[in-house]
Amino acid sequence: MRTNRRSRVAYLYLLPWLLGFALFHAFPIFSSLWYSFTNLRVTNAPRFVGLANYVQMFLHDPLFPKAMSNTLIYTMVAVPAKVGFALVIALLLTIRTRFIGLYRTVYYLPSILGGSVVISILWRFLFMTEGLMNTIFGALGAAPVRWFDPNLALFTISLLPVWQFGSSMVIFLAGLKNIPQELYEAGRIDGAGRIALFRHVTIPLLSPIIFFNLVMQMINALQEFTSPFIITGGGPLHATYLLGMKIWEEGFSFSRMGYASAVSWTLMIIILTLTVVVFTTSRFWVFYEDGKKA
Amino acid sequence: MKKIQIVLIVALLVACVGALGATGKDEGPATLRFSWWGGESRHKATLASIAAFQAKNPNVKIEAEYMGWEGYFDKLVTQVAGGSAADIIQSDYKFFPQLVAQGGVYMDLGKVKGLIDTSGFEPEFLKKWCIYDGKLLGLPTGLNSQTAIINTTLMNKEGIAWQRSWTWDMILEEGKKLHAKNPAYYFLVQGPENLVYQVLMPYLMQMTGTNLIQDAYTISFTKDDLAKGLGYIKTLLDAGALLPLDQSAMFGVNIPENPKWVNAQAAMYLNFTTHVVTAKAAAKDQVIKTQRLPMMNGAKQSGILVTPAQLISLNEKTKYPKAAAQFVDFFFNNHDSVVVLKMERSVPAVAKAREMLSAEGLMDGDLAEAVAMGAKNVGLAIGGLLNHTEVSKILQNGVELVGYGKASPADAASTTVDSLLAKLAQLKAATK
Repeated sequence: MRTNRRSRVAYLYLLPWLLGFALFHAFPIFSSLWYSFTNLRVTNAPRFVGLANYVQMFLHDPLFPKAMSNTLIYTMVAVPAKVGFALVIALLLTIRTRFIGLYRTVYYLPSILGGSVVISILWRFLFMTEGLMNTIFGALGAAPVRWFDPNLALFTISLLPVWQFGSSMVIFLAGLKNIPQELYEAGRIDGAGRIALFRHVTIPLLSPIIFFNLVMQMINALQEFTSPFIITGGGPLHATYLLGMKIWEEGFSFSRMGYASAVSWTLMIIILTLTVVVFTTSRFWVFYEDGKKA
Repeated sequence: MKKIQIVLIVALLVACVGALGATGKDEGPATLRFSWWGGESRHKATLASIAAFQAKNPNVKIEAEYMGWEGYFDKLVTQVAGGSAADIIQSDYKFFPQLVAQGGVYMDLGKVKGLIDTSGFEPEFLKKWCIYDGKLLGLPTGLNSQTAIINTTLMNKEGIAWQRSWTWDMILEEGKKLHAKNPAYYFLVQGPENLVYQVLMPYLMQMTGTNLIQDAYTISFTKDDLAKGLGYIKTLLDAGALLPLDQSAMFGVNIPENPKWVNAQAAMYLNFTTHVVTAKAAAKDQVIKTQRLPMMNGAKQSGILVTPAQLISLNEKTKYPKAAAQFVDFFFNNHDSVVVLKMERSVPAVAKAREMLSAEGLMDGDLAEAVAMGAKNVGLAIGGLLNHTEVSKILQNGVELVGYGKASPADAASTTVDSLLAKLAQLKAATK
């Protein structure tokens, strides 16, 4: 009897969160699944159209394959760069010097700035043909780069999330602190140099964290919307047109909510598939401290 | 103990839900929301007009919702979808085809007939832009025309005569010379979207003498015509007369923000007259004047649009139609409103308002002159469908293909016309 009462109280405490989840997450998610099978525009009553949206997307929409390839390329560029950069900086920040706290703060700051008009103006200022980057290049004797040319624009906007590597870096710092110093000492006694220690102690013990960051950043990158939206608006010539932009454009610029829902669900399936793939490969390279392979 | 815990938790829940649902009905005095876009000076002027109205009508409160142009349409569409659009809405005439087709957005002003004095508006202008299916759905704030905005200080310095009837060929010629003299200078600055509305469309309209896309979802220009228009843009780029697109695209339609304009390294840009004020403010110590939009020799029509600067409408679903109508009447016709609004929404469309401004010496001569020049040479109105986002994006894509050197004008024209026809067919099918 006592356990039952306890359970009831527990559920009551959970109720606000459950209600919020149901109202603001579960209900919209399943509504959008339903809408993806309708022709909902913004003001009409939705009419069931079966798989028409999906057929349109895969067979008749020239921008969908473009958006998908852009998104995948973007992910393959931005995620390794961001995670790699975060790891390198985190390693540097474990060195005990003066002002180390200041350096950590400064490197972390960009990640809390998010995306905004101010950031987009900053990016323009940096990467305009007469912007700061090209001025620096000029000073170093290199030719100016056309950062917003259709061939380079995707790379330029992917620098925004890479610049905001702070959150990944902080997680790496925590992970690095958890590696027992004895292992390094043992390695040094056995004659391992810095690189060997890195390869055989740091990386394996950090691998769960690398795995975590990789998966989280991959999911974020596949959904990316802010950086193309504020910097290039999806242009030039759809070079920075990511799936996130496509969903927004279809839903809010063209008022085609049903179609936008279909694209959203397709994106979700893509993210799910890639995440499962990464999880499966993790068997081979992620080591957990309890000795079991992942 | 346990029972009290349960009671407390439930009470907490009820309080939360209660707070969420506390939207009481407003009784008595009216609260209106007025949404518009603009720059700082327009916001200040509009707020002053609202304040003047509230002073005379203490039982009406007007909440101002203002922002910049970027994202205004998307926000409006979202609000319309959610039923939360403002009571008084400022729209661009380009919004009308899409939103009127959707229905249920703009109120038929015939419903508040006696409350708004519409005698000051030109009936022909209203018929062209504001009356759909016999219903008056909005009122024009000002007259907007297309013009060539010129940095005369720069032109004088470089020995280029700025006062003339510009043609497209002259722009190419002067542009080539200017850029050859100083590679940092570009004669013409336009973003991709601007190139469509201010160069490509007038060029094609002048060439074909038609309004390009008809309401029947047909087009009146060929692939060859479009190839000629795109070819002209390519020639400008190759000659260094037009700023390369990768340097202008990020500023969108806000050319005054482009460093080339601010640093007086650009001689001209083509845009609506509403930009004259911003262009002047951005190029601080330069003398900015306007001239008539460029035409081609043997143009079949001017291709110059005279449009409403903005349209003020009432929300079909407003709870206070009478109060809203009273404000709109005050906004357009009352002296106190007219003199604070000045020319923030271009030359007023109401004749009496123009007189009031002239009497007080508040007319910006350059702006008034630019509008008059356009009005004198007004061409056909472009087909309403050209303002449809998806349609104009196809044309913009064509311009970008040529602008970034990804396709020849002929190929780009071919792809663009094909996409355009496909899109028009799709839009037509959707109306059934």
